[in-house]
Amino acid sequence: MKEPLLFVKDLHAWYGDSHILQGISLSVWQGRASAILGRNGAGKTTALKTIMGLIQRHSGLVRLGTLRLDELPAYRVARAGVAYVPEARGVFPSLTVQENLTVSARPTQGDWSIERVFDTFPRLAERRGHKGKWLSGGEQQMLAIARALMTNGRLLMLDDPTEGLAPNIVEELNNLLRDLLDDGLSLLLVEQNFEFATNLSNEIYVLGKGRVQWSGSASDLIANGDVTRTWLGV
Amino acid sequence: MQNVVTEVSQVFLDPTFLAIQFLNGLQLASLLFLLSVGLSVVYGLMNFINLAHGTLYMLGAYIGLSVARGSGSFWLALIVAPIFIAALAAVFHALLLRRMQAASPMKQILVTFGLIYVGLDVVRYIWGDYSHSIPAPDFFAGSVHLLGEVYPSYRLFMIGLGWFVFIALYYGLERTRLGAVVRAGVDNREVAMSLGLNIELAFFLVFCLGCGLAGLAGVVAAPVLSVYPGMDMSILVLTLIVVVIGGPGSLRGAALGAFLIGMFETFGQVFFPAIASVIVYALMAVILLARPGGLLPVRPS
Repeated sequence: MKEPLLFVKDLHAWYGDSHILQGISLSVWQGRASAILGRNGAGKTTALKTIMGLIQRHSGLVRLGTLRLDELPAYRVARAGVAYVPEARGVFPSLTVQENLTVSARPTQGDWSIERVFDTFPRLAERRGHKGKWLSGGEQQMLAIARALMTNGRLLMLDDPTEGLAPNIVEELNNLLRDLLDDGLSLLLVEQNFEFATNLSNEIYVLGKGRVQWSGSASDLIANGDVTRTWLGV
Repeated sequence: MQNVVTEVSQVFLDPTFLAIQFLNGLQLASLLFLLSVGLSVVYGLMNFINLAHGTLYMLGAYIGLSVARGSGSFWLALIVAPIFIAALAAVFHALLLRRMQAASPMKQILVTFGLIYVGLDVVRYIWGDYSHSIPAPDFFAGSVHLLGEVYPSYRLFMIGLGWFVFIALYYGLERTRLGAVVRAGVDNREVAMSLGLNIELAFFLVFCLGCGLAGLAGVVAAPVLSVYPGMDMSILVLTLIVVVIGGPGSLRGAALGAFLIGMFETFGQVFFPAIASVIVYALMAVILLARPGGLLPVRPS
């Protein structure tokens, strides 16, 4: 198989003295989705944050294409092409929908513009003048994804995007992410929703106690009752 | 005795007298706003307590004094001093504050408190111990007739400048790109950085701007208050009270806090001179009991 777009090797991270990530390795390929699954506290969110450059104390290799990311500050990682949808969306409450979209936009780097976003998310176009804090949970999730797309990155990292969403919105999100994959975007997904993740992703990494306990294809994971029982409790 | 009381109460309740005191209150508020907005925003945004903010005010006044004497132009002083102070703040940030951002509040207080004394000695060394004054610019040197009274026009200029700066900052924060970046950083610093925004740079620019405004306040105050070593200490406490009651980090909070303190201080001096210095502290205590985060906090709790 050709070189991965995102390559992570032996990544460690610490919060104070607690050793949260204890050497994880994973890859994401161009136009494909990888998912990180695991119980609460397994280190999933920390993994994304460390890749993003948000965790001070860390070691290991993170590469996007040929570029080393692991020593860069978060804003440089973002500019290098990593788009991030954080846990709980992180919509800016005091900025309007339009400002949320434009404040971090890098329109010259790709083809996501405000027009295309409003075309794809008509609901956001209707609410463009509203402050972020007045949006519903589903709207906030759409805004967080649209905002990340406006940075025109090559890799989209989503932290638990289905959390708290109604089933019909989860379905909508699934279709949207499929379209993005068809467009050639790559995804790295952290999920609690087993079905949603296995349905979208090609590669799955099961995290437990700060390490990758199992990795393989979605269909292999579904067939492997031991792994899902021990590490996911499904 | 009866006569004196009646006479005094007549003077105090005279509408013209009250209006003039109101203007004096606005003028003090204007000065306090220029001083506190930078301190407040730096504390709210960067979690940095800069007790030496008043020192920048004093240095602004002295640099304004030298420029005004050298060139004969108050207006040149008004432009040069804030720029000089902002540049000084940039150096100060690079050498010291940047390394101290993660330090405990106690260390920040000790270091910046020490800088107050350094500033004091620097000023004494360069300009000496005497008290100086910058004359008001010719255009505002006279007085205007207002409600049948004479009022120095320079004081009206101070009030106008305070409003102008408030409106300019408000516009900058709400309508410009840098303003949106700053608001995003205040809302959620981590997320803002992970979207590619260089929040540290944006906050650094805000820091320099806030310090420049302290320098501006120094020049503006010079024609009304005198310029002397230690002029920073007499206003630092009032400035800190403004920051605390307005809500750290809040532009509108700094404006509201400055207005309240300006008024209570001015009217307190007139009506209750014996307890005037207690009044603003009492006001602060009452406000903090009701709203511990200040009147207009940036992050509603």
